[in-house]
Amino acid sequence: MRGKRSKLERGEALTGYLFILPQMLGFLILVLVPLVMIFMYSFESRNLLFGNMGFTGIDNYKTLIEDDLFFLTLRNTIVFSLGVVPLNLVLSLALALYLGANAAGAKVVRSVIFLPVITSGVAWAIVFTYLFQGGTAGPINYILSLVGIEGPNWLHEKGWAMFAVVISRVLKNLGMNVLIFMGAVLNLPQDVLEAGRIDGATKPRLFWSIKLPLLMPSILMVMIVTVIGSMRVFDTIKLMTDGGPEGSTMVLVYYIYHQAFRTFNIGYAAAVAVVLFVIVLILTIIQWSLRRRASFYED
Amino acid sequence: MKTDRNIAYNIIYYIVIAAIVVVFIYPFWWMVTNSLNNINEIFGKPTLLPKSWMWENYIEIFRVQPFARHYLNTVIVALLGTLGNVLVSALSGYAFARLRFPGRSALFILLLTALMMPIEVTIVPMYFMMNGIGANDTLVPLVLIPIFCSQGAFSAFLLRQHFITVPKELEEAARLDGLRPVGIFFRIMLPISVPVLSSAAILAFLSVWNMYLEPLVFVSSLDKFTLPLSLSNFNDTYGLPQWNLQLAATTLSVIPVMAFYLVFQNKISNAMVTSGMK
Amino acid sequence: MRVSRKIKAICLLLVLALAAFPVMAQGGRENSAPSGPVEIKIATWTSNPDQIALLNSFVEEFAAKEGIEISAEFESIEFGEYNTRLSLELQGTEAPDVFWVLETSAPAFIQSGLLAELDAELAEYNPDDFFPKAMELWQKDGKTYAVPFSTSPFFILYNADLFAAAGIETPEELVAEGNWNWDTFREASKAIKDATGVWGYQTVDGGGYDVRILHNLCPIIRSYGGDAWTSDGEILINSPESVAAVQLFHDMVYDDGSVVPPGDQSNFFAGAAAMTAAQVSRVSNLAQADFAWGVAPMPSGPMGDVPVTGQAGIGAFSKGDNVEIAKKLVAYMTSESCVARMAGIWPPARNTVLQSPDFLTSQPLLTSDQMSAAVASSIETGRVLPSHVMYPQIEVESRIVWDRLWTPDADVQTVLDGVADVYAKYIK
Repeated sequence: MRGKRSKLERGEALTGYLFILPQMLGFLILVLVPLVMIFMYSFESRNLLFGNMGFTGIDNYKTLIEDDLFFLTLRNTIVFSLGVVPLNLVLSLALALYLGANAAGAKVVRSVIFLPVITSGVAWAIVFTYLFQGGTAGPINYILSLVGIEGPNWLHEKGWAMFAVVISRVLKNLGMNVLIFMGAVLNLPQDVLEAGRIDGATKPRLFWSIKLPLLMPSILMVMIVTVIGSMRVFDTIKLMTDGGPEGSTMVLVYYIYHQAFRTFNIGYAAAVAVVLFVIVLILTIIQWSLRRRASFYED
Repeated sequence: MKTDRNIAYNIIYYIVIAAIVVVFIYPFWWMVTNSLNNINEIFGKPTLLPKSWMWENYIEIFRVQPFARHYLNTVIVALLGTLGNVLVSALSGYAFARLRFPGRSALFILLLTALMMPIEVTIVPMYFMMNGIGANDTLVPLVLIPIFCSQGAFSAFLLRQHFITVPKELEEAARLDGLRPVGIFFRIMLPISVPVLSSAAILAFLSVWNMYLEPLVFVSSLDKFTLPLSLSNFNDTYGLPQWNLQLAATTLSVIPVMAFYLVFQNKISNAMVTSGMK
Repeated sequence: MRVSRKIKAICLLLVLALAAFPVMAQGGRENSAPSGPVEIKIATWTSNPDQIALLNSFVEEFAAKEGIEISAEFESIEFGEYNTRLSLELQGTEAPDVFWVLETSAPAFIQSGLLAELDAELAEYNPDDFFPKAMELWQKDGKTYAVPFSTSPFFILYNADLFAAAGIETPEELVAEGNWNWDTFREASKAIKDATGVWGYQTVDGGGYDVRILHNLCPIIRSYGGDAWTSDGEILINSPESVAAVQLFHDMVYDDGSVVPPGDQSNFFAGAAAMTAAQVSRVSNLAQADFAWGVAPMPSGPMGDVPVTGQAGIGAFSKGDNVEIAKKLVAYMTSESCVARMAGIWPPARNTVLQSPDFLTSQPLLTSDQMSAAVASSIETGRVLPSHVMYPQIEVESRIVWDRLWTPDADVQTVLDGVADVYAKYIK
């Protein structure tokens, strides 16, 4: 009996390993190995044209510390995330709660708002490059001019460029989060809400004390995805502003691309990539620990 | 009194909805109408309808670039990438949720590092690796990345969370019927998980559909381009964009997915809503 | 028993799936049998079918001459992505054997050893015929690594209809009066904007504020007596002459409002601007123009006429499989016979071709007078843009400083001091 059981267990373990084999193998080759390599590259003077010019220790990191552009890039990345994440979360949660999940209007909005999500990022960025044209030729400025506002040269004025990029990005991804939140709202335990109502909870109180805590796991999940997504913005930047004006929309990911493939400094790009990795790592650890605290039905 | 307020609420409700519809439809409307304009009209005063109805723009895009080929490439990559992603992550998601083997949690946590790792971090060494195996300038990296990099880990995570919630009794019963884990997985678990599998598939598809940096780095020949590269490549000899063609091509790239979505939107929305993404 | 069969089935499936990838990878590649034609891949940034056809005819002639079979594959890379994509390809398995080289990246490509030395092959085709000045950029330590197939001066294209509508003298008339300079240029641009509402001037290829900033500003700067930097490493971008020149352009954009501003896509060739700076290769865009147009040299400045040329070279990949054939092909494609046939698109750096009477009629859209005044006279004396081994870094870093110029109240001197600081980091 005991022997049979452990044989069963061995069989299950073997099946388990077989089941995770493809994923873990791919993970090893396509994630872990390159990750180790990027650390190695960051200690080398490597150039796409000139090849590897040898181990240079922490030279790339020294350059990094003195590189004003890098710190500008870091700042821009934070500004971008601080623009996109709260705006996206608040808007999508508000829409999901305001519209409910099943009303007729909610269905229309749900469809319409999902259209940018299924449009490729490049297509969306191309269209928004036109919409944000300066002068009165751009549709957005044209509409503003109808109400007597002279719109800025959006993508070519420092300050406005980041704003334009944030807006186009939020509109692109809002639909997915609205959908997820609508699902979460739909799954709210009705008996708990009902109990709250019977106890005479006001609407704001119902929201802050009951709905919000119950929605927290969803919110955190969406937040993780949105934060990491915002750290990765590439197509929007490349196509709409190319990092300008004055580097005001140059974000970390685009800086890596610039250093590696425009100026061919592979080694230096690797050092910047390591920084990005560390940032994402820290963010993820913070978010996962929040998530553990907020969610009760996880094992 | 109360009904007055209700009417007011209703009016506001419909105004909000109308505003949202306008904001989200206008970019598409603008794109389609201007794809039928000539270059100068695009930068004239915006109008609601095309000024010259240049349908030939839509023929021209196939002349300027092998656009049909780019379309095909994208479809191939999207299908293989999505399919591979769901298959691989369903296997591992189930194993991590339900099969007991030594090192299970450690390996799962290790896998989660991929979930948060942007491809941008590792794209440079990956470029040299792909070079080493001669996979650069093929569609191979574009298929492998969505299967195994962050999107793959994401699907595995999503599916693990789902398989954990499946009642244990279901498995016990199947086990008593003599089914082994493989049988349980294919006969019981997969069929009952269609909504979650489809939302993983939708998300994987979208991530492939949006890929831009990856083809930019891994693909160089014109006949291996995917749509995002193709769209940003509508330039004349000296780099001046051919705006109307670019918009026509963009329209063509958007329409089929949009049609697919509008036809199946209830199924898609329900899959996303009920998969309990949290 | 059943389980193990299933496991086997899964394993088989996975193996098949994994095996499918290399197969797919192979699918895209053609098998080159050793006896078949030599495959030569040629990378360019033109996508114009006529120009590609012309280049392809050279390849066919060369194959016939050598008695070999060549199957040529032309790859057109978007101009803005050219360096990135080419550099990536040169690392990979699909590297081109022959490729065009941008003037700004010539020193980096030469230094990197990616370009094969061509002197032995060029010897067959009268290499002394090339203007030494035109070859400087493409040589290092007396060896030639690429050959300029285009040495093309910048000139002004103008829309004669718009000048007529504004009732002012055309650039060609001003040239005839000896009165064509940056001040009359500025006045004309403003007069047209004020009279017609159409932009007076579009910068070269619309890229004058970013990717082509030096192409845009250097002609003005040099005719004022300034420069970006000199070949002996002297940085002149913030000299009083350079500042005066850049101030002129800045004021045209922001005081006069007569230049197509940053981010605006109004295009000369579509009739939405009255003048633009261009090269001969752009003239073909006017074949179907629905307006009358003319050509004039760049306006002169305090230092007189200082023509600026843009160059483009062609070279052979030093690590390609067919490097010997590629080198010979490059030499052939820049022989007198080929250069003469390209001359109407890409002006020659060869003396015999430039001196031949055919040159002035080589561009069907330009009269020989126009060709002579705007092109021929500038080729020999024209100077290329400044270049440097670190140009890619310089370009990316300085661009961020240059951007500060494009606001109405920018202080030109301060901005150019900033640019000079960036230059100084790399240029010694």
